[in-house]
Amino acid sequence: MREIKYAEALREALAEEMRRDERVFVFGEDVELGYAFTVCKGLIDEFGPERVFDTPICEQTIVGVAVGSSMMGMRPVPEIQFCDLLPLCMDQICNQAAKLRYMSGGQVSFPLVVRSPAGRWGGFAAQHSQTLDAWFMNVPGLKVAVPATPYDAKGLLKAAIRDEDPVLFIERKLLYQIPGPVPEEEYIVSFGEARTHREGSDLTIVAIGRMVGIALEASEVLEREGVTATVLDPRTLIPLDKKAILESVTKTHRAVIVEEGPKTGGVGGEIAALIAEEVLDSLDAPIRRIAALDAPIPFNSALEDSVFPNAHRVVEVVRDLMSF
Amino acid sequence: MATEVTIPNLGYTMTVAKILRWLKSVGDTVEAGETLLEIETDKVTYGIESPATGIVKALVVNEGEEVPVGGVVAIVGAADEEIDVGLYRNGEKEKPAVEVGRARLPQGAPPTAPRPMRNGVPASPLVRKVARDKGIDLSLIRGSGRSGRIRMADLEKYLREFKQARAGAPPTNEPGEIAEIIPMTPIRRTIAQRLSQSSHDAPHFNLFTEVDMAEAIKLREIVREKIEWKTGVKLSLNDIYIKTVAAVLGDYPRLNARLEGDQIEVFRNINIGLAVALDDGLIVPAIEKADRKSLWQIATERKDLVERARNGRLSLHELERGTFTISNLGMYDIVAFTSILNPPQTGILSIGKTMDRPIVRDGSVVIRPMVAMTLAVDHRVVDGAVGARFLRDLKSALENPYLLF
Repeated sequence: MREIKYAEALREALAEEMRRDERVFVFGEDVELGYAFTVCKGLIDEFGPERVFDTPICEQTIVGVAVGSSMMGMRPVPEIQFCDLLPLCMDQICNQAAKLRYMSGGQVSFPLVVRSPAGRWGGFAAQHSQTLDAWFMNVPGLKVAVPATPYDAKGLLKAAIRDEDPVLFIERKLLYQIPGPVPEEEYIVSFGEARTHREGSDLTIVAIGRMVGIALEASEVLEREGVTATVLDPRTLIPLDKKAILESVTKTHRAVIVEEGPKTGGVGGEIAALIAEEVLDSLDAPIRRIAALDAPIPFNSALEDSVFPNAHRVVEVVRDLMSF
Repeated sequence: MATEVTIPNLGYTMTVAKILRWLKSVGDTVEAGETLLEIETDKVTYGIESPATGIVKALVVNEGEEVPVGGVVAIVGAADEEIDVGLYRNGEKEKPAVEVGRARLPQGAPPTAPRPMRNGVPASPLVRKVARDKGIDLSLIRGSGRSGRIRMADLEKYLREFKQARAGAPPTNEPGEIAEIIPMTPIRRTIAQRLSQSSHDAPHFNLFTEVDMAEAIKLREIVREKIEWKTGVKLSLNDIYIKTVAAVLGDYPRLNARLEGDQIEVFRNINIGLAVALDDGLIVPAIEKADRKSLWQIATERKDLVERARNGRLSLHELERGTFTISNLGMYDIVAFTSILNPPQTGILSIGKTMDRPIVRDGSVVIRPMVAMTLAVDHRVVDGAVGARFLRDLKSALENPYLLF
């Protein structure tokens, strides 16, 4: 199978959906030129400035336009250049888009997809390196996707654009330039279906976004020590594939969750609680969460290193868990 | 309003109780606080009082049956009350019941398999579940996890070994070979479990010595009459042993301790347990703070404890408070023997028969009343020299008992 980069896979998804459905349009800061992470680069050449256009640097307006136009029957795919800026449009996302289908008794729907990159890039400091997945998990009415591979990025984005409800599509900066196999023919990755990247019998590592690669790297080290891990990527946090997580933990009896956001109030806590609530009797050891430190992301690269999880930390935690 | 009579938890090692005797029948009137039945646990015989005043509506369990802690054994209610006894059976295994009150009692009996302990043994939820499903007593398994935590791997190993042991054992059902099958009583089962565990977990070593008891016997002769006059109790050599051991232990706190994880915990008090043989079983009631009591106090308490031990009327506290044990088999003509540590204690002293023996003293053979003593010690807690010094001091104290006072 051919290999393309995560950013290219997203671009393909956008282009294919824009060709398929003329209601789809993309806009945001610098999308005409494809900044900051090149996802929208070149789209304007095929679809023109009516469907691919730049906006002022005003995130409230970007999402506000998306909410209004989706309400009127369009399928907007706005880009918020950094997810750190999503708090500016919290009201539009959480109070308007997420709620109004319910509050109107289903008379209107909001098929919009807010794309935004999260996580580490390297020296982007505290206001441009955050991972806010967990914030949006707490908003009933939203769907949240976090693709970890080019294949999933394309398949999930296509599914998101076709969805009748608002989707927060949270990408990862450090994944944009990572290549992976993506088929030429069309495919969709449905929401709520986890992907097992690797099967092992000693523990289940639930990894999200960029942490999938880190979990896989760690599990190779662990395998040399005789510990085999199942690496499971939920792919969408809302809806969450609870069944896959619970089934896997029931088989392996141990669970570790790895995420790029801060530990407190994080995605890992939600998944850990789910496991403890549903399959406590399957656990042979405590559930462990590996996450970023509860700290603003430092600019200094050595400090930044120490904040984010890495494969080394995963291996250490798993070793400790296995000896519990 | 009907009131359930349940089996109380009398200690953290208790999982089941055997119904010894019903003191009331269905239809009898019972006062709150009146003893309704007697049960036997792994340690004590215990009278269970009615929690309410009323009429005994149903006895749910037969005499001789075992009931898990918390299990309902009887129902007390008002005279005209209709009771659905079926509610109290929890869908357990079916078996005929003793007596039926006004309500019809469905067939059933509580399970007899001991439940795995919920407290006391650290184990993962998975291990607890599997143990529960398979009816395995987790206290029998040695955990390899942190602080002795039982991990699934330990349970699997235990099951494997159990299977192998079963496969390797000779068939037990050959006709003619077995004359009688005696089910283990709770107390027998506890002794089996605890002592195998002690033998397995605590590496013991034994130290032997011989003590000249002439002076101790003389002491007893001197004070015996006074004590008997004062308390009505005959002073026994055991009382002198208890007093002396307690006094000497004061100088060896490490022998009055237990191992807890990787810490040695020294007990605050010196409570000397005295092994008492029952018809089927062995229990060790303890005299609290024996180092601070006089001989007559020790004699009085010892007599009371031994009598109540024989009648099964000891409290759990009296059985669990021991910090060091003395086992005396002298009355059975045993000259010397070794004992298995009484967990979680660190030391146990085995005392043989005091008998006149020829020994050499100052170059000539003399006849002296000699007794052999064996000190068994948990080597994880103390080393040989400590045990040896204790035994030396004990010997010296018994040979010069007046120094104790």
